[in-house]
Amino acid sequence: MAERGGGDRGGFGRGFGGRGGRGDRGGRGRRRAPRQEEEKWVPVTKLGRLVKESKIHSLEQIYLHSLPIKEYQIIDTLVGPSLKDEVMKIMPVQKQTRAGQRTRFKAFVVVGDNNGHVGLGVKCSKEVATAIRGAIILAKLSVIPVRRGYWGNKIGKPHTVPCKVTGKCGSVTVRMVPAPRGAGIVAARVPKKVLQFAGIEDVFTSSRGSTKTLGNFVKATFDCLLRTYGFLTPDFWRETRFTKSPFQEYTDLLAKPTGKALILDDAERIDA
Amino acid sequence: MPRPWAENRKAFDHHMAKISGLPIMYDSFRLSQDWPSPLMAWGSDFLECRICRNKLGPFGQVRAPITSGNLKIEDRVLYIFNCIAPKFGSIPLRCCEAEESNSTFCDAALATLPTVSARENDCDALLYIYTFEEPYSKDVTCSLNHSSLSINVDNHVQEKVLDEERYEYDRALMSDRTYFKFKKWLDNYSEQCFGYSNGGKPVLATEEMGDPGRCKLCGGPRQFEMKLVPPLLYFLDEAADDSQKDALENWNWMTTIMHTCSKTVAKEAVLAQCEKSLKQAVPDYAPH
Repeated sequence: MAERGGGDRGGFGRGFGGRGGRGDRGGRGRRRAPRQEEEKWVPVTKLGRLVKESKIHSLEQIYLHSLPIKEYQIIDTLVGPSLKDEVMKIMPVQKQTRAGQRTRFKAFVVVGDNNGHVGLGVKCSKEVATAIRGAIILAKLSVIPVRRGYWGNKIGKPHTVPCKVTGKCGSVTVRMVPAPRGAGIVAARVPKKVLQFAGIEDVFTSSRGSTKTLGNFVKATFDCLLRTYGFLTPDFWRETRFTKSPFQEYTDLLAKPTGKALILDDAERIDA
Repeated sequence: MPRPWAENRKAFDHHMAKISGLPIMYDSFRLSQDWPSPLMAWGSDFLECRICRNKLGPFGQVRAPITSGNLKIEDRVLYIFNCIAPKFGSIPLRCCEAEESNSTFCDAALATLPTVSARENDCDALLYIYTFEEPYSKDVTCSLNHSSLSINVDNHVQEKVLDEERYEYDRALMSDRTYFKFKKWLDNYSEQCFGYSNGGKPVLATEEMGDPGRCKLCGGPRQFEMKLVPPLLYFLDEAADDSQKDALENWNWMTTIMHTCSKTVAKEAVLAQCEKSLKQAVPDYAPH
């Protein structure tokens, strides 16, 4: 990590004269040897304990009951190795103090499994490596499901957003419009990355506002993706079949004298 | 280390802390041969849950000598009880203290002794304490940071862009800064089950903490003494077998904080911070 910090400094030195604040992005491979403490996770929350004991098999069970995810190890266990992360940008932010300027580094990280789950993390810290590590954790904590749908015929797997959605953060608004297969992601560099991680293959986008502020731009895209499952469509008109929350199931499992119980399978059916 | 304790059921030494298992296992209190002077006299309302009037079962004990100011009590043990009824069993409710030599202490009745680990159904967790000062973890700025400031400060052009991005406090969908600091602390000390610091300042899980109030006896302010943290629940869960696990079901607190009076150290207040579920925020959301 020390060399990477050095590399970043070189990048900043080159970039500062002209564009200012443009850090490196993309394609930066991070070799991280699996640390010993990653195996020794002591869960803090009830949900964490259930996940550690493998009573919960997929993230969808958690999303179905809107349980707050407060530990990033939950996401690691449930999504596992298919979760990729990428640093969008490292930018220095400065604060004026009596003794000069204090610089901290702000890292934007997007994580996703390219198949319907994406998360965004922003962390500011005095060192680049700490900021990146912290941002990855925050990104894992904010993983959301992304709803995908069709542009026209419902043939094959869903490939685009189900309807026109828009997201806003600060002055930036991002609008996503369903696109036919083969259109690809028609977006700027920054939202394109996020949409690739989300698993959306084709979409038209349009943005407005000061998109130069990367923080707001990426958060607006994320907000847009958050709304895909918030949009009521006729597929959801059917009456909900309520199922037990994982906490309830576990309690019932314990209460049963024989110890064997039928655990209801309540994985969410993604509409096709 | 907490792991091998399940096999080591040593005789209980009063210098250790003991967290015993599950209150529903204790039908009656028994005297321990370890303890020199057992006391059975206590007010009948002392060991009853304030809310549901059920009996309180012993949960654990911690040796906590005090040497501060004009108080010097060498042999002081804090006993922790909790309500047996499963609904309220989630929060350790009472915490009282006993002194070995002196049997009466203010007018707080002394608790009876925890049962001995002779019963086969017990899930006793003897936690061998190894005390260490919890260092305040400030970020150590290494030399990497200092040299990065030597990047040249030709910031007339970049100030405009830099101004638009500011320092942001950590945020995730469901958590805030206070929780992140709590989680960071727990990750650093992942085997800590309880923390003791007379008069110290605990790391909180949620921002608002109830007011511990004032001591009923002397009116002095209450100060923090001890807290219980979630790894305790995890280790208890690991130790419990299936039949005992349902008693642990309702234990969902994030941290339980015990305050005692700073002057007379007699009466206590216990505050628990629980996880906030979405159900509490939006009451009509959950279908069941």
